Amino acid sequence: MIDSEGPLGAGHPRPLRPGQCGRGNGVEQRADGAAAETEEQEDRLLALDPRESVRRGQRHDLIHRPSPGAQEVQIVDAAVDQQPAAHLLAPGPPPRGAPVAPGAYDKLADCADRPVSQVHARRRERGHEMRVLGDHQDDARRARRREDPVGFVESPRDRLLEKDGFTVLGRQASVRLVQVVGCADDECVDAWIGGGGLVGAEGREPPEAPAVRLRPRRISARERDPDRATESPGSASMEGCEPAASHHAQTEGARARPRVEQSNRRATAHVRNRHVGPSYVPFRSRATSDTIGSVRKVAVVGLGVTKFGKHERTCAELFAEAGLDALMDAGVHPRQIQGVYVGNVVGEAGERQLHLGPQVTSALGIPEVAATRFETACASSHAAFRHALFEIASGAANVLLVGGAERVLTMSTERSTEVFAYASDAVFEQPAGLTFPGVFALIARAHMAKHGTTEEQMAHVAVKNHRHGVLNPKAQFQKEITLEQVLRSAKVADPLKLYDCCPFSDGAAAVVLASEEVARNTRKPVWVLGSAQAGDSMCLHDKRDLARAVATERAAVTAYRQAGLGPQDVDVVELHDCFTIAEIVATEGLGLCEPGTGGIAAEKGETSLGGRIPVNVSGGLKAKGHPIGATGAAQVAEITAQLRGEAGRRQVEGATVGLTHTLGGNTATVLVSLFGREPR
Amino acid sequence: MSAPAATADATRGMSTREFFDEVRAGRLVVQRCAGCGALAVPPKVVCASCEGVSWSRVPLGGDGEVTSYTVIRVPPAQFAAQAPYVVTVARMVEGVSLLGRLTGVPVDAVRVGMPVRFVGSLANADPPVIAFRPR
Repeated sequence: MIDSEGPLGAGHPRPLRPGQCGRGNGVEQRADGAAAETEEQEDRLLALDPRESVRRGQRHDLIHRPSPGAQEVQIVDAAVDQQPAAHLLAPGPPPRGAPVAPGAYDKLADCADRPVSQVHARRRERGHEMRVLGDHQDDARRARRREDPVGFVESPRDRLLEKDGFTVLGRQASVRLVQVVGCADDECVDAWIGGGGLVGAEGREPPEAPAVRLRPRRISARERDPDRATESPGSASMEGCEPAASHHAQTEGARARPRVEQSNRRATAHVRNRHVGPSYVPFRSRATSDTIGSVRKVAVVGLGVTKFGKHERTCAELFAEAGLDALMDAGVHPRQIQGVYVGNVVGEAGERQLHLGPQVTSALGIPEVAATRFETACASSHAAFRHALFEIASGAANVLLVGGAERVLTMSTERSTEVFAYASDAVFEQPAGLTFPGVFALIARAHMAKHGTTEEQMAHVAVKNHRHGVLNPKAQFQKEITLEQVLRSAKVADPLKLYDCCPFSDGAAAVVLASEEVARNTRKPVWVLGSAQAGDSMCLHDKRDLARAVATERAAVTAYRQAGLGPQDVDVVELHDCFTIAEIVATEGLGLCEPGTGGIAAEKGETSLGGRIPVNVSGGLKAKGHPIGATGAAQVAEITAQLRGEAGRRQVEGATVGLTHTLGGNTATVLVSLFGREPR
Repeated sequence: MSAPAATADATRGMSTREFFDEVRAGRLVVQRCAGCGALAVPPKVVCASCEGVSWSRVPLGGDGEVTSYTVIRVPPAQFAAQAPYVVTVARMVEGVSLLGRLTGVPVDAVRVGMPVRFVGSLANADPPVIAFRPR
């Protein structure tokens, strides 16, 4: 079910870097964990393979999620593996009475009952290396996993669900009460034995009895009836049995059910739910949808951006200027728009202004129109964009104005630094004096330690984006800087220096979004091919790997899947370079270059205008400026101009597919959208 | 399915307030998932590893090592008098990471991999702040 090769939707058949992402190829061999590096590479490849993504999507369908702590399952029937499979004989099973060594049963992959690809087998094996079954956090394997997390599969449970082979391997003596992790419908039971429930997992109980393995199986309505199930011939209740007695009961049960025994010598168990805690509605859920935009096609039909820098006008006035430009560009009258979505972050601190929405529509002369403010830190207007997209795609609206505005230069640098830090954790991070440069300095230091990225490579990003900024008349900085200037600039948060940081900026940006029927009548619609948002742990220390843009990877995978494209199809990218290291990490997370090589790509000019994949030809946040609430919309406006072929001196010739990427806060929110000249 | 049953408060883990009360007292006490053993800082309601909702509390030894660090030279207004200071992410030997201040070492001498020890809350810090020193 999970691995079915059924209809896969529009998937891009080409992997990220053909021939380079596989094991050992293109991976720098490191003394300190070449294997882990390879696995990470492979997992990225898998994650970026749309077919794999679809499989993951299907996996998400299986998340039914009764809490493991909330339910107990009573084994009411089980059959016994009389002759343990080979994997149980090596290295075990241990002699009777001997403690079970941790790790003795973690090779469940070896007993897959159907042919699997090598890759899949590895994934299974790794799934079990994680020792979900009663592991400890200080278990060596788990520690290794946390240091070198792989792919987008978050929890051990997900991995277990990913396998249709089974999740529980244990000894009959302890298989009396297990915890259920999913019991969706009448089709299958996904189960594992929770902490301590599995003999051997913690070495607590001797393996008195033959091995029992539970498998997901169809359960008929009759079997689901507890009373009838326990009364059914041949079943044997295991509840309350002592190990030895249980062994006996099990053996008899197995004899009475020869079909199971003969079929594959594998134990099966019927389980009966006994709810002892919260239960959950059995509905199908996806972490992120891959259908957004496919309901109705949506296009960007107009754009407007103010100059970025210092402004004396209010956010509402700035937004009205950008919004009117966008409406005129689209040929849409303000009275034709059905709603306004506006991103704004520090209105309270910068202008003492909440409730920006109606202020904006008032300035536009349309106070009756619905207007809503969005806040996801620096990704605010990108989030506003995505929600406007939903509204049009769903058919609820045909034309919307979406964008953002920010004013921060009303505050001193110290005050701005403090206010921006509000987007980090107020309990763990702000009291420690962590600033936003500090957040990205921690990421930079981790990236330097893991990949050998240098301060010079980061400086190349700043130099490049300033070079681009010269070509953008709306940019806050329109002057080139040298490598030496960057490296000699004042330290802000080691290893980040002043010129590694984007400026504080005022400004606004807006775009007009329209449904297909409207867009077809406009001048040069640019089509939204995909738009995804993903998250990561709020606290920096709680993230799995500071050197990796995990949320970016997640959002990118979903957006690529929606568009049916891969990173190699993208012609021009506007990404979130609030600090130089952020661009390096993002180029890796978006699949534009190999993990760990973002700095090298900047150094070699691969991401410059005219390079392999031009990044931030607008000047990026670094030179164009970063009015935080407006940044996401400004990126969309830039890509729209690029795909229209109207970007002037900074035009990427022949660009047909563009990507925008916006970070929110300490990388805990990420949005990625894809645009094309043609609808998909 | 049956109606949700109340979960005993005793298994709900700790609050950030309780966590930092312990820090203030010089102790590092964290949540541990009763289901899978995962440690959780900041405290969580649902385990990110196994989705369990039952928690116990375990003390940590306090030893760890620097996984990343930065020297804050342009601080927020209220920390102006303290700059420059070192903020670090340290991985404790038990496997969980913590963010805090690193003191007792010249700011230019900090390195990734440096062994550190939790020493309670930063002096005069209110609210409390996790503090480390080299060991």
